[in-house]
Amino acid sequence: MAGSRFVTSPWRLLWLLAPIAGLVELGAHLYFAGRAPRETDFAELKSEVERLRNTGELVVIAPEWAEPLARKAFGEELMPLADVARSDATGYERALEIGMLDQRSPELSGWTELAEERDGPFLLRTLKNPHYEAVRYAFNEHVRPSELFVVEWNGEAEHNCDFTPRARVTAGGLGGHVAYPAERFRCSGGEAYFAGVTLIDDQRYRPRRCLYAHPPVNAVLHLRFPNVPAGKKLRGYGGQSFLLTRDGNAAPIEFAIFIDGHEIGRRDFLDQQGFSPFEFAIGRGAPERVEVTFQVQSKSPVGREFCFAAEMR
Amino acid sequence: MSFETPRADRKLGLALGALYVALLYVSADSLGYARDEGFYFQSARAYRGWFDLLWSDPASALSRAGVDRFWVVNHEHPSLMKVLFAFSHQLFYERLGWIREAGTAYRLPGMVLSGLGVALIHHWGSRISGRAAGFVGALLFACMPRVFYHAHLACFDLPVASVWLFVAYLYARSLETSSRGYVWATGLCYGLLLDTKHNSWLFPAFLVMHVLALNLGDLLADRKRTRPLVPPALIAIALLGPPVFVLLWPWLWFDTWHRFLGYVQFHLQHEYYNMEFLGQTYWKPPMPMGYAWLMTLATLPATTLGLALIGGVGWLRGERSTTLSPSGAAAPGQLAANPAATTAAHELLWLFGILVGFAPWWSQNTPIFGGTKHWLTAYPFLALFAGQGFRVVAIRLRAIALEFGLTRLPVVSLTATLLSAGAVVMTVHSHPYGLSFYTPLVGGAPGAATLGLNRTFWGYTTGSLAGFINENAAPGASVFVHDTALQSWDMMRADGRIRSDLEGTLSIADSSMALYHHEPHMGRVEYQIWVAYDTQTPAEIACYDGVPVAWVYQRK
Repeated sequence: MAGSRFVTSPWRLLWLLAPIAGLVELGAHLYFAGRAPRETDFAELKSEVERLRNTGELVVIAPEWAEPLARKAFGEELMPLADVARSDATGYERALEIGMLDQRSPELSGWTELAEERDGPFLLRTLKNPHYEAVRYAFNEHVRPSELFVVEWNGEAEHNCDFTPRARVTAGGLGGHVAYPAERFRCSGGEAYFAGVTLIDDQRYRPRRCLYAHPPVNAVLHLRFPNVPAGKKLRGYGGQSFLLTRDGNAAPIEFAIFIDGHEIGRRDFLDQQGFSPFEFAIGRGAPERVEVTFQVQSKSPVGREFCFAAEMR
Repeated sequence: MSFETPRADRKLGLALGALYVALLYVSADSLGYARDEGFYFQSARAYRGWFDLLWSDPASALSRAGVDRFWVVNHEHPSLMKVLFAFSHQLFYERLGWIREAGTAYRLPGMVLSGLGVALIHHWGSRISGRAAGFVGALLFACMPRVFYHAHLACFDLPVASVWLFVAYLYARSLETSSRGYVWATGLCYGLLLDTKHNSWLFPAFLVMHVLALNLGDLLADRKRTRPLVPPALIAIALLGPPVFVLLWPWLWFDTWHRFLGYVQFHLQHEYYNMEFLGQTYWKPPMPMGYAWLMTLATLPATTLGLALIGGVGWLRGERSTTLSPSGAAAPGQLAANPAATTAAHELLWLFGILVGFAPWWSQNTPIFGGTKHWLTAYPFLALFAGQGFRVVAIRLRAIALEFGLTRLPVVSLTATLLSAGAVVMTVHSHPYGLSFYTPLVGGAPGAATLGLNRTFWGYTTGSLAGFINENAAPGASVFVHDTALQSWDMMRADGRIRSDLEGTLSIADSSMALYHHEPHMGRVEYQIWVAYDTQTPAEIACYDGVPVAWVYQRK
């Protein structure tokens, strides 16, 4: 039979690739099924993350989808809510990136690598932000009656929004309102009209921690922080829950910022913009400490769950 | 000259189908109840109430008030499957007690229809492509991971694919014979298809395309037409389909036209759901044109698709001669003796079955509200071509083996094993995360998550968290069920999968334990839980191949 091997075209032997392809697919399946780190791998990594992470350092997981595993394994000390639901990473000087499956965080692209360490399936990189700007004052962290006054101004008189630390927390579910927190400044108009820190979903459906400030009906809302260290600029993000407003076309949220009574900037937030940035320069010659007032209003105020995160830098 | 398959082959096909039903049955209790199943459980209970009334007080049951009272429930979908769910529950769970779980009893008709679909693929494939090809085609259909998932459910997606296949088969048989039996059976079964799911309305287009192609083929080949211009089965479909449809759906017995229009409008103006695809969440047109194609590549074993492609190309090249016995010995083909035109008509029908199954996805306006399940009707035909492809490969490999003197090598069995091993292993591995499964082509589930492909929907993965919930929830706790329908949650309680003292709730604020089923647009629900529970640390995560799919929060 040996002589018959060459009777037909050797190209016919390519058919042998078919069953081999079946085996290759099986092998590839087994490889990919076992490739990603498991919960136990994250749990074992915790002590190493604790060792590497300095206080205030941001912990970032790449790819992003593995973050719940990291949150569960590392806990809130290593991954506090303010970090997990940050507006962006520009205010962090350093970050610890926990990468797996050869993934890098796009958010930390361009950061300078200070150290790299492999730990099992993970690659831990300590990164430095080349464009770091120190945050002098994060307004989200000062939403308490000793540091913030919330008032409605109807053109004639001011109405104070009273603070309560123990309001009933409510949440509207998928199509309903954002979570209304326990600590809030209650304004007139009903449960939705208040100022307080909550979370919204941005245009990538990622969490953003922000200061909820529902525009009042026939009035403007003033959030007055009387004792803020002055910096070079005031920057942040504003918007509404993207899922609820992505098809919206309502009148804009009119947002303005005043330093010691002088307007330094103003912008309109449109429904479909999601959580979008703003930045205003602080004029030279500002005193060391200033009063910052955020003004929120809308010609169509009902159901507009505006939320913003601002920082003095 | 006979197309008939030997009795042994028919038995083998039925055995394969029965084995599939058995596999579905034994694995059902580890698969949580999907969102839509909850609605169909509720509907089945309502319809059961009507049948009880029909038994006790027929006049009242047949009155408009009697019909409307029960059949108004879930009247956006036809009745057949829900009635079968109800009967199955009543017979196998309540009366005979053969099935331990009420939910599994509701699921049984879907499983049986799926098994019959497998058996029919075996039978049809054997008739046209040979015994081994029929077997491999049926096996590859059964071992499509998403098919295996949907085949478990008390839903319509696998049933409609199976009934579609049955009507197509009956129609194809009606073309072979002058007997009227297949003609009327086609018409009657089309009525059942209409009563199974709304995409059945595309079926006539499928047949019309086939008839036009056959007639065009005759014309181009200058052949004398031996069949009627319009096949009698097509007429039977038009005559019998709609009456059977109305007869079996009492909701249409009154105000028929208005209610029928309402049914049509519901599906033509279906709300757009959210679906993640390549990192973007789509919720309104234009939908991405590549959705169905990429999702098919990403969820069907590549070997199955490759064999279907080989089968299709082989068919276009006219390869339909020798058939194979499972042993690999050359067998005189049943079809070798049959008219080529007849087999070509069958294979052309398979091709149109694939095209029509995918046809809605040529439009950017078709809402992608349920992922791959919406083109499942194409998969049986794809599997038939995969069987063809297997035949082509096996014939070539056997020839090579003979050239090398390997006369005793069981080439066909070996090839079948090697080509189906991946599909079998992947399907077994996909359970109970069928909708999270992705093939190696996109890097499996982790690769798909990185690419931004949908990770889960329908809230069925609550089943994978049941153990944690039962162990950790406080007595009498309220559990926020998120995307799991309350009816599905209640069925898990009734079946003993979830502790009976745990109430499902849709209120995060009133709950002490909260479930979250991940889809990007659902994120805001998770963030609400973080605020309400004052924690962003999950207490438990259900992962598939390391990818988080659903997780639980516990109030501090």
